[in-house]
Amino acid sequence: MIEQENQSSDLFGDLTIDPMAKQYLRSMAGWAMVIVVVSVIGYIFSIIDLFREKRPASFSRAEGFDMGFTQSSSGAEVFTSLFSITIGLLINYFLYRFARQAKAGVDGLSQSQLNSSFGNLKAYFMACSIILIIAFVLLLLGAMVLGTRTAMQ
Amino acid sequence: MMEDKQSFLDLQVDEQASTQLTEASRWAKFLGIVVLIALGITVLMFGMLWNKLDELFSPYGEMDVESIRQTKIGLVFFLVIIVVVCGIMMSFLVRGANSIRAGIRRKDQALFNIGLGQFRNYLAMMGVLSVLLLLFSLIGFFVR
Repeated sequence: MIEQENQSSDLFGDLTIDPMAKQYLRSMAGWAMVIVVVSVIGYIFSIIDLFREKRPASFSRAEGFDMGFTQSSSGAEVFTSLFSITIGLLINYFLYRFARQAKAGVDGLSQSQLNSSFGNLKAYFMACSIILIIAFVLLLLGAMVLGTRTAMQ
Repeated sequence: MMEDKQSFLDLQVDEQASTQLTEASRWAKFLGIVVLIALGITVLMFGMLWNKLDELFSPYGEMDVESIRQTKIGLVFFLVIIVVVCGIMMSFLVRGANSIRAGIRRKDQALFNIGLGQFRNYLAMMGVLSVLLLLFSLIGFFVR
């Protein structure tokens, strides 16, 4: 009899998304959306900042003459910034999908949307980890190159 | 009867959800540990380069001993804040990941909920930090 009860309990899954879990998921979705919105606003300002005319460079006035030169972003700087923004947008896209689907899944009692949201959470953490590892390796390589150059001089 | 209906309609942590959440927590734990290691390396490197910081500052104009000392104190303060904030965030992430995985494995609802709560704390802290960073960058944007 007890065995039968255990079996039926396993069949229907012991873990549920109870009211507390729902509250946590709603809260997670809300904060995730805040992060996405704030990040996107930050990216927009970064792009504007990248292409706007900056203050005249100090060297142009060093001798007392303002030659009218303006300090503009170099090609490499623009490329690096746009590349970072693209990666940031990709990561935030997973977070946005998690937030939207988790909220919809919990509010609409949709199991498939909830499962999909967990998949997006996984993708978010995975993308963050992979990008962090790549950045870490590049930083180490850069440090090694700098160290070798310094040692050779 | 009513309870039965309710539990049948409730959202479950089914096989697919379990797999996705286990994978998510595995990656979250990995991320947390990598960030903690990176923080440790940064602190170690800072400690090793402490005496060479004076040479690093010398190309940027003539700085007296007092200015260099103040800059170094500022850097230490900045580093401590970053290490503490990131450490707390990553501890939420690692503990949350452990709790979720253990909760799923043992089918322990309380542990599972604790894990979700830790993930919520991580996201909340990140949200507050991102708002603060945006405010600072907006100030910088309009001041320039």
